[in-house]
Amino acid sequence: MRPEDDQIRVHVDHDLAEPGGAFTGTLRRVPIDGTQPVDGAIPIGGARTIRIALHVRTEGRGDVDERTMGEVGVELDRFGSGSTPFSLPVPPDGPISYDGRLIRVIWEIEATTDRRFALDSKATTRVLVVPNGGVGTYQYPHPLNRTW
Amino acid sequence: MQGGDQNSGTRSPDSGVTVLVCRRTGLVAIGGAILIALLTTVGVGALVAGSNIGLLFLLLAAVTAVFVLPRLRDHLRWDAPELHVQTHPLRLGSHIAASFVRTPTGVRLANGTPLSAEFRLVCEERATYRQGTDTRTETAKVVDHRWTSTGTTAEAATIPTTIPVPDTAGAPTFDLGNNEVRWTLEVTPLTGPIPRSSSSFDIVVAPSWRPAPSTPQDA
Repeated sequence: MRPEDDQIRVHVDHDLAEPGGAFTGTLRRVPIDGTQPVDGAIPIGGARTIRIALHVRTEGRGDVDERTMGEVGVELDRFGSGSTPFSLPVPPDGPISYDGRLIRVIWEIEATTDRRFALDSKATTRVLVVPNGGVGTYQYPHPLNRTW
Repeated sequence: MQGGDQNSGTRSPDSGVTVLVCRRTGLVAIGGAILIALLTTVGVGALVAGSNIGLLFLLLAAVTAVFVLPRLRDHLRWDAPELHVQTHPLRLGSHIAASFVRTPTGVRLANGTPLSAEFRLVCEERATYRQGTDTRTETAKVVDHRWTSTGTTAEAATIPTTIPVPDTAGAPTFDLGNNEVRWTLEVTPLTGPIPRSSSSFDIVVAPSWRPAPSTPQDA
């Protein structure tokens, strides 16, 4: 198989971070073994860079708010055949992941290959931003033990 | 990301306590007084010019005065309502000591007179959406907690209380544009020689979490 047929897998160290903290992880190049695509990976397909972004978006009754809170680009030429770490800081003033009555706040890490003359490929991983001091207690979006 | 303080001003004196000031009462009083003056001027002017429609303007001025004059009197006799908060922004799951304070400017207070007030902590989700050419905002109160506290008069009328911020409902304050979470504390005096009008304070809840304490006074 040619190297451009390889795939990129995004590995996030912890799917949970606090405001002011960071999501860290690794980009790993995964050779295609035979014809089977690797689950959760995106094909390189001749792309020269891969972009890792931390997004926050809303779901619910209101119009969607969507913002990119941080972004890093990795040159695939320098990426070689190994793996490259990345870090995406979380803004100190939030918002945190939230599952309310009218509003849900969702955080995601999105990896996108930038391919010439072809559709970009994307892989998305949902992550949690929990209140400061909440690591170890929160396993799902705020609020705790919702009462309604 | 955090919401603004539309009705309150904030200042931090040397004690470290944060003081939130409700400006709404003064704005209603002054705005109402200006409206009464305008209606009266137009009404008298119309009557002088021989038009009976001036009576309608004077009637409107009188109706407005019934609503505004008590507030104007309070505004002249009392400083703006204040909420003294031990730590601000607040944290999820915390119990924060606070005091509702009215300081007289045009009246003398007898020491030791009992006071009471109802406190109402509200967390509201606000979701804005476009439907055709209309923009609509839907709201939901996800926290609506009321309690009563008592205090006494001294140099000022002071009602101490504890604000219980839940971690089982509501969210830290945020404003993403179309989707927003706001917290307010509304105080309505029930007894004592202070104005009965409600005061609303915009408070900020930070994205920080503190386990619920075993005693209410942990702030």
